[in-house]
Amino acid sequence: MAAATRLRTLQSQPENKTCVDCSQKNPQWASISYGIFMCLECSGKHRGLGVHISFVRSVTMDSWSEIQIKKMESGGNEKLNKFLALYGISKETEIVSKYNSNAASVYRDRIQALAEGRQWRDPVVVKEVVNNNKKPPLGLAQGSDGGWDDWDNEDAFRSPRRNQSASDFRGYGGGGGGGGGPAKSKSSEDIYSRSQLEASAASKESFFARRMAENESKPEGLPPSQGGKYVGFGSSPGPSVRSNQQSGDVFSVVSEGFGRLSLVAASAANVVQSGTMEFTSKVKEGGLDNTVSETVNVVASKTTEIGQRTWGIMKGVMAIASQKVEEFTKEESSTWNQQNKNEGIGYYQNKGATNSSLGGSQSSSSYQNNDRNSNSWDDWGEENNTIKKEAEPKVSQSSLSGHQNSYRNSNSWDDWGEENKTVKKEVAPKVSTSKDDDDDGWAGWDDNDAKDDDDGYYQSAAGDKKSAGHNGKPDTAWTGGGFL
Amino acid sequence: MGTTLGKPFAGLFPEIEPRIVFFGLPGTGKSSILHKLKTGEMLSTNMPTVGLDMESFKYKNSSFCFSEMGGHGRYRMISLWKHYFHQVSGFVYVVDSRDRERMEEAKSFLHMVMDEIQGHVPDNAAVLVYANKHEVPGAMSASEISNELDLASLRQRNWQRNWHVQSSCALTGDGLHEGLDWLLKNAERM
Repeated sequence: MAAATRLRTLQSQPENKTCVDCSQKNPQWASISYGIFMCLECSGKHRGLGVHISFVRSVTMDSWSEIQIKKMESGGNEKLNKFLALYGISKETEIVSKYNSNAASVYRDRIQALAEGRQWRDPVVVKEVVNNNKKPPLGLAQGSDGGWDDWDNEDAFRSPRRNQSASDFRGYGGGGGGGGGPAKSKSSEDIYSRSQLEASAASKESFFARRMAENESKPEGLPPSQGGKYVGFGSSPGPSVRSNQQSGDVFSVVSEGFGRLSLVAASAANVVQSGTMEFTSKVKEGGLDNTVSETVNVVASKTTEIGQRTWGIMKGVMAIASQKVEEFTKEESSTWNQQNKNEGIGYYQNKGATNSSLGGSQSSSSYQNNDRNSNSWDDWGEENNTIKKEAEPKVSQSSLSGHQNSYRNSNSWDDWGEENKTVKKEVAPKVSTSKDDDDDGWAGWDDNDAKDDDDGYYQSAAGDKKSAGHNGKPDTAWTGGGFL
Repeated sequence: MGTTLGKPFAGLFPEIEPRIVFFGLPGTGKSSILHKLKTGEMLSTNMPTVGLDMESFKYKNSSFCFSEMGGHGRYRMISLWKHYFHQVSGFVYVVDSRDRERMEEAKSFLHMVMDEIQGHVPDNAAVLVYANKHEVPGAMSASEISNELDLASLRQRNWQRNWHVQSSCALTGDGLHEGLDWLLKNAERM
């Protein structure tokens, strides 16, 4: 209650008895970012600025925290207007440009500092020329056109500080922008042309239909601000899937019909997609270029496809996989982790077809890991191998061949095991290259002259180190217990 | 007796439309979404919704009643909300995907409401989360938001409750119908 009384006291101060932006009496709304009071109408405009510019609360309806009250106490309508006047921004300035100005952002920092009890020194005043020629936002849109006209404005103030001079302001410590998202050059204005928007208002139904179709065709894995798709992400279809996960017998599952299988596959695909999307954005943040994320996209869609095609056979693979993982985790050297990665990838090259269904019998988090890994197929596997070769030519050969043995023993893949043997034999005489046998394993399979092929492989590796680094990522997740 | 008497009057009371409840923190875009869905136009005033707002309109040949709960004063109003939750078929929770600072608050609010309504609404009423303002640079991805909101725990509490995060933009209308389609498929009695 103390909070309410403190607010009342603030409200009753003469400066706060009229709205900060217009001259309405007795304002009932407040912007915490500036410690100001405003009327309902202006609060509407403030809300449109986004919470990182102006965070609006109701004096009477909302609950207030201690820091919020402190911010209100360190602010005041008169103070803000005086401060802005120093920078050449008058009270009557249009709200959008007023609060998107540098001065306003400095004032936000100031309020924040004062409320937290920090020292604050006003930075040197730099007069601003605020673009006031802008169309004021319309009130209630009368016709559809009005609504769409407004869009431009709306857009402008959504992208922070777009209308400002390029000179960076000293006092701006970066604390002002609430969300702290990276500044981007492209806004949605570039994506939607004006005519598109106007036409759309005419017919709601067809508009939404078109929007959906358009969205469908957009690339996934990009944020919509860069022209990407608006995606969804949700829980798996229902409890029925869970019972599947418990069931031990593959064949009973298969016999339950393909309807359910495709359900599982679809959900797997879903998770893969969203996982990949997130992953891609991470990769992008990491400074890798577009081609990589595109590759990931392609790969993701591939798995989706494949996952829908196959389901059976899976349990065998599962058994081998978990066995292998156990084995691997016993090895502790970090170099071994690398080997592990390559093995894992090679391994999945053969069995890739069953991958997403593999995830089906596990938790969805391991889904993502598996699938991501397994997806680094053909070229990636190769690249990886060769890169590792460059890096450390003779490491843990014994463990590798040990692993191969275990493979053969598990022999759920008859012909496959045989082939393996023959390769072994052929390569065996050249002891120093037995590693190649393992590494190139699945990539250089058919002609099994992997070591002679080195040149080609090296080239591709050198050409695309990025993918290799990229590959490393899912792998850590994989060894980190994706299976267990 | 009661039934025979009741019959002639049945025509007077139209069948109750499936009800969808919109809720979320203030300023996330609930009114904008609803307005966009109803009219296809962008809501150009951003005045806070005080109390609640009801709209009903047709979507894919079935008509819905949307109740929108104002974000301000939500903690005081929440005891009232229950009365509107009786015939609820689905929930729409709106979050601001750019607003990382209030994600924690958004999470606790969602979970508070979900706890509150447990037992008052059908167990299989689905929860659609609109990750609104997704066109803004720096917005969080749908999967990120599902993590932040800890949506997985909804399923732990109640295995019948499906959830789905749909990224959207209330200004352009992107993602809105995708979300509704999902809700249509998953919500109870639709």
